[in-house]
Amino acid sequence: MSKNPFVAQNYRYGFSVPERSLCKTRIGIGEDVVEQISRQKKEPEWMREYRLKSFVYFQNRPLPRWGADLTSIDFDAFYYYLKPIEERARRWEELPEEIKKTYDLIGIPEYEKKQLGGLSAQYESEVVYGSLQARLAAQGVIFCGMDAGLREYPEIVKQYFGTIVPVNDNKFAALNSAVWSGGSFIYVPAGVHVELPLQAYFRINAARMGQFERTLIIAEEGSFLHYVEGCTAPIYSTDSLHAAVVEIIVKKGARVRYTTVQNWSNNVYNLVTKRMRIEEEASGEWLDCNLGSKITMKYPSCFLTGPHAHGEMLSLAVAGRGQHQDAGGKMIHYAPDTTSTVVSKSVSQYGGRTSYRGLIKMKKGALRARSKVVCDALIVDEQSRSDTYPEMNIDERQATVEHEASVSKIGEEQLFYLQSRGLDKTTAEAMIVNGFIEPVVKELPMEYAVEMNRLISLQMDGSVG
Amino acid sequence: MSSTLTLIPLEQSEDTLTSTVCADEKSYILLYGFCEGRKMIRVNLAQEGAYACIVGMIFGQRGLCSISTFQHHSASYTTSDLLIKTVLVDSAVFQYDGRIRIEQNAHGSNAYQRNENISLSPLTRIATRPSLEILANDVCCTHGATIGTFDDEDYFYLQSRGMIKSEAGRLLVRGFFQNVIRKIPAELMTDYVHTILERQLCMIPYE
Repeated sequence: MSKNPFVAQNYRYGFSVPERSLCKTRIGIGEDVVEQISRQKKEPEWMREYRLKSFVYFQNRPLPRWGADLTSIDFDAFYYYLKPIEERARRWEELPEEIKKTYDLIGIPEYEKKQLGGLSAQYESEVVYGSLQARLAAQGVIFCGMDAGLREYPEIVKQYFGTIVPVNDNKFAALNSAVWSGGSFIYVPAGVHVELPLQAYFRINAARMGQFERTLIIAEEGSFLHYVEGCTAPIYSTDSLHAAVVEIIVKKGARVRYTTVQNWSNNVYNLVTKRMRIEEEASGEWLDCNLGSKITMKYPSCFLTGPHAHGEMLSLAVAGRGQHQDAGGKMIHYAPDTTSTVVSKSVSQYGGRTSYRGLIKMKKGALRARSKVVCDALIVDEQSRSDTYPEMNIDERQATVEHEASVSKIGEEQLFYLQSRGLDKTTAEAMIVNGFIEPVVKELPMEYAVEMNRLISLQMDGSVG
Repeated sequence: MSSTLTLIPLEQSEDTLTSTVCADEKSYILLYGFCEGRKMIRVNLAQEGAYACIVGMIFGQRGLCSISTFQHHSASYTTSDLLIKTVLVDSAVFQYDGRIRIEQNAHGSNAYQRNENISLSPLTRIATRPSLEILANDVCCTHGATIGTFDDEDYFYLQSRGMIKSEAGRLLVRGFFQNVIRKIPAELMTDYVHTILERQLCMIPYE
């Protein structure tokens, strides 16, 4: 068995630029920090109260006793709010030099922006850049930072904010509700198809930083939206914390796809709550790729509340040295004729650990509902570990649930077959790993698929033919 | 190589059962019946070449029955195979927790787990919760679970051949349990195993 890592281990985004701050809260968290964030943002009274209420929940909730080991998190060792620039830039040129340089290095070149319907860039705690095609804006599409959303569209925000993920849902959702800053606010009016994806980039630059973005997406009846997010951070010896909350409402006949390419550096705790409500005949899709971070705990969920609603989850997790990817998905069927599928692929190498943790729930009344879950795991070397924890709770007789999981190494027979066709071992292994993750990668938008292929590129210095 | 078959009627068994399978031993365990409460069945494969096969024919009418199984591989080249099939009528509630753990030194091991559930009444509830913890890489581990009910078409086919509905249901359940029985090798098979199946089939109500 080759000891080469199957996924390149060198992290390209580990650089940092000098810290830039206009306003930074003290280290640690307390009611004063929450108040200060709210004051700084000049928020309405209801939001200030919402934050304070959430903070109480956060303090009272224990850490989850299942999943990854989170006891090493010291909540007083992070900065919870850092404002890098005064005003969100509308043109790329208006951005300060070091921030622009950062995004250039990550690879958000001009041509790529032209491939997108809109782009938002979050740096530390605030959205520093935002754009949206004029054509989409004219159709009534809203795409801006969550803070701008709260200022400019307070009625819509107040109506939906916190309705999908309640403040006391879990400890990290409560923390996010207390100190949230940045994130995206998207509103797609009825019947509007946003053909090109809207994209958001999240970057943590400062050390010991906590990023708590909050995203709210509302897709009105018959609309379509594809939202893509990417995340990176520098490598520090101290830890950073990322605890986002994403709420999505997919109304009748609409379709939303949410793509994440999470590539945080190996010192980031990534503890995220993502959920969508899918109404009648609507379709919601999560495409979730977890490559980076120290510990990830993330279980995007679909609540299928209307008849014929469809939920889909495609998940890819890669864990290397010192990483634990505890990811999965939840499908909760409330209505008749709802369907869902989950496909999860995971690769553990170099002593990394991947866990698939999922839930399928069929509530009484989910007549003829169907769900299928397939989880495949690949363990590359002897130090690595893979777990699968799928749970199924079925209260409806006329529902059908199927689950399949397999864990294995690269098959000797597959290798033998390819080698007997004249491929050397390394090439054959590369081909098998690429084939293994293909079902998820082929769904990625072009520029990410290219990036992923580069990342999954094998070290070709092994045995020769 | 010695093979053994152990019958475990859930109503009469201890709450926790542990079976340790020795080197080059083949152990077959058949669970059947249904009872209120929680049963834990643990199989330790701690010696090289050990083989364990756990099969279950669970037929529930009333009450909450919870079964946990644990297939623990701690030696190399061990194999475990699990197939638990459940049919629920009336108001039965069934919970299944199936755990597989393959330790780092247990290379060359194979572990299989399959749980299939059929519900024949709207009042039944089923929860199945497998967990696979794999610490070795040279292994093969698969898991599968299904929950559902027989198709209307299955009934229609049999009824169009002149069967009344309850008779058709019985035949479908018999067929459903058949591959549980087939897991038991011929030399260990006894008439009593067939009697268990027939007794369970008798409990399907005439509608």
